[in-house]
Amino acid sequence: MKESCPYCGKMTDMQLVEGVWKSKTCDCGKDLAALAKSVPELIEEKPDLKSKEVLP
Amino acid sequence: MTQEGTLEQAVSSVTLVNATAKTIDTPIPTGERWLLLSIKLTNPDDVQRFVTASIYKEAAKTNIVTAVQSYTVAAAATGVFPSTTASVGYQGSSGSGVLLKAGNVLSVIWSSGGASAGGTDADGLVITYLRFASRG
Repeated sequence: MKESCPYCGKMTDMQLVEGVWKSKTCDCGKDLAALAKSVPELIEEKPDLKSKEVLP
Repeated sequence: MTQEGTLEQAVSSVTLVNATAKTIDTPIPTGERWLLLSIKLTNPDDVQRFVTASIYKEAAKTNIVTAVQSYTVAAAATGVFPSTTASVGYQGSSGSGVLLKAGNVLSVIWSSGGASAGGTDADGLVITYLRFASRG
């Protein structure tokens, strides 16, 4: 799995951490994992894929 | 080596930053053949992003075999392939399973969305497929 680096534009390898592919440091030296922590994480606004429980 | 026909779910985090496109490439390894079953992708940004998922014939990404998804995903929305449903939370395209051979590259691109806060999603891209041994 590879991702584009927003700093240099090149494709850089991702790393598999506990079953999830995550960002790591690009060859250009930029830490993409740190970048991921610097932007808002999608939690509250995330689409709710579960059906709504409706009481009778 | 995994067993023939093993169901795999490749989960990837996705980080989008201000006014910058994002590409995540998944190359099909040597000796394998994949039956692509579904793609779930999220736009974790606070502006809409045009997203495409294409299959390239080779690692150099010169020739596109087919495009399996191509649409605008609203901020914080999710797109699903294959799907004919389009609503607030789900945006999809029609389609069916696609066979991928060793050397192919499944490339998902979030186009630049303009000025934004950016965002990250721990499971912003999930590719579900059956893994087979490559033959012939």
